Amino acid sequence: MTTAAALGPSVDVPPDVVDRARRGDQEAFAAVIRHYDPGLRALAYRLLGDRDLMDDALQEAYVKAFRGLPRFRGRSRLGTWLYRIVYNACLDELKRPGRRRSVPYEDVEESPGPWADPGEAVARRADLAEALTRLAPEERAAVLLVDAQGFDYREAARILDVPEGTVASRLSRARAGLRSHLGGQAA
Amino acid sequence: MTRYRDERLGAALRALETPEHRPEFYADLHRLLAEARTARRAAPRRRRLARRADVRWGVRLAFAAAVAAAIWLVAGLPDDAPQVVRPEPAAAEIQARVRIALASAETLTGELVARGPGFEGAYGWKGAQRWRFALTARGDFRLTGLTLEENVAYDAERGIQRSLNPSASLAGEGPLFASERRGLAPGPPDPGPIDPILENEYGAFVRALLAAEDPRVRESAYRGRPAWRLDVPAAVNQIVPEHSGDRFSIWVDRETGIPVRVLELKNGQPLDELRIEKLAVDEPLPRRTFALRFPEGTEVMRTDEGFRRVALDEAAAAVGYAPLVPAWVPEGFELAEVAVAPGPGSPTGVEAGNPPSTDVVSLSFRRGLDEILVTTRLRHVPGSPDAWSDPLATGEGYVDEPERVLLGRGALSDVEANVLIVPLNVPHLWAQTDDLVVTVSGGVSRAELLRVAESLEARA
Repeated sequence: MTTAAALGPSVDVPPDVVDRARRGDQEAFAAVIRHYDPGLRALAYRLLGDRDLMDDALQEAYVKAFRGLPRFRGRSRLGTWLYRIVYNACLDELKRPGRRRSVPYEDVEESPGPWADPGEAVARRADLAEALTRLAPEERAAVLLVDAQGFDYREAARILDVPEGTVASRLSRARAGLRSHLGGQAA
Repeated sequence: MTRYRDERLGAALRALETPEHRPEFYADLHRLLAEARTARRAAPRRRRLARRADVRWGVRLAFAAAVAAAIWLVAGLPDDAPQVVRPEPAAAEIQARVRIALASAETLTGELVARGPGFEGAYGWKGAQRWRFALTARGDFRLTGLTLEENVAYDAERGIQRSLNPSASLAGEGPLFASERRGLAPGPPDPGPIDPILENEYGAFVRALLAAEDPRVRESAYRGRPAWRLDVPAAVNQIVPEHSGDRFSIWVDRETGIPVRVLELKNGQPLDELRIEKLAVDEPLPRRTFALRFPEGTEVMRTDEGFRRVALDEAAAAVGYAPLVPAWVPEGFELAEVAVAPGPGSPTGVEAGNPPSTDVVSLSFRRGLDEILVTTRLRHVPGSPDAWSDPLATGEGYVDEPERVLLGRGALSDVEANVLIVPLNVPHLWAQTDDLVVTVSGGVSRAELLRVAESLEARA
């Protein structure tokens, strides 16, 4: 298990690696994916709630990125571009007939961490994870991108393909929803 | 509504555990990527290449215009020859000169120079970079780095692109990375011959210049030769506005009619610069110019994008539907290439968000270095939602605002088309019928785009 690190928006892959990946160098592309995978995996997992769905969506997104990278102009951050592809892949997964929009987090075993009361820490994380599932995917994505992964409103708007104002309103609803579900705790 | 980040919530969210991938994830991914390099999964109606030699392989207009437009010129604009503002008719006359120059040129050669913060941010280049280039009306191109170790060649007659560059995954003096791409489409929105510098950075600007209405014109000079300077407004990139200009200036050599210099400006200050030096028009080029040999023993990464050339009357049988073919194209254009890709293929659209392109027909019409592309693909793809966006969208932070036009004739009668003409993209329109997604693109005017679209007919 890993915890999601806010790597995506603040650190970029060296341009020459991106350039080689763009020309079809699979090793270079693998390096790009390894760099962004922790953040992308966290986003996908929290949107889909299931490890297999997460892996399916990420494989689809990574293949799309590999095929689309030759046309990537580099005028935007590569991370932003990748997050958008992954987000779209997750939405497609959620829209597939027969898929449940919210799936219990069965695969995750929350570890207690270095907190004074391990039992309480686990309970809090489980509560927060559960509260997230009760948000609409669009609101969940907003709070994950901005609060958890550190994207600014502008970049989050590009990833979600909505105006910045919509990002702000979704964040507001998401935070209020989390507070409501958690009964005034972590949020 | 205030905009802030909830750090405490963020920390709590980051502390949530995320499962690792299943053990076979990366092995499966590598297999999928290898399949992607060979492009097409088995398709029941797949056909092999029918013929080649008599059909000119179209060079993407982006590339052709890009090379011509690769002459971006900038720095020191205010110190140039005395500037006189011209009325509108002069702009149209200059645009016509550029069209004639591009439509009549058989070859273009020279040295391409690029510099600026945008290039540094995108490619990591420090300072000015220089390449030698060659281009033909048949669609061949060659790009040889003079400051970077880079070598790309596209042989239009064989439809093969080869490149030889240092590998990014090996630092220092590692082996060269060789790639060969076959089965290329004539051009966008499908995978065709590509060089990011020429295609993405230069060609679209010139085409957009040609399609722009009322660009501002001033007399100027470039390297001691009389030139015209035309100014085109630009949309600012929403993600990296600090590296995005609000205006483009293009210098056109008066004698040849070839664009020789492009400058991207922001608040009057130069950003990126692109220019051509040692330009030669219609210089004879031997065929070996576009042949790139790999050193013996080099491991070559081979990709097949899945497009096959066929005769026009074979296209319908190849894809299982009647493709749309224009009954009218601007004077001088001729059908140069018909390419089909049966079965599922590459995604298109903003960040590859469209359903997989399925059963594609791509028609290339050429006139000198100019090209018009007309493509059709199935709209309804099993397993994918019917949710299409512009297959030729600009993307990467640029917000497209297309003009919506109701077409009145032909196979697209009563269909709403989205027309987009902006500097950073190829002028194009796209539309959907009940069964197909259609694109028309090229360095032509808005009126010509619409007329081509309204002349489309189903060709069984």
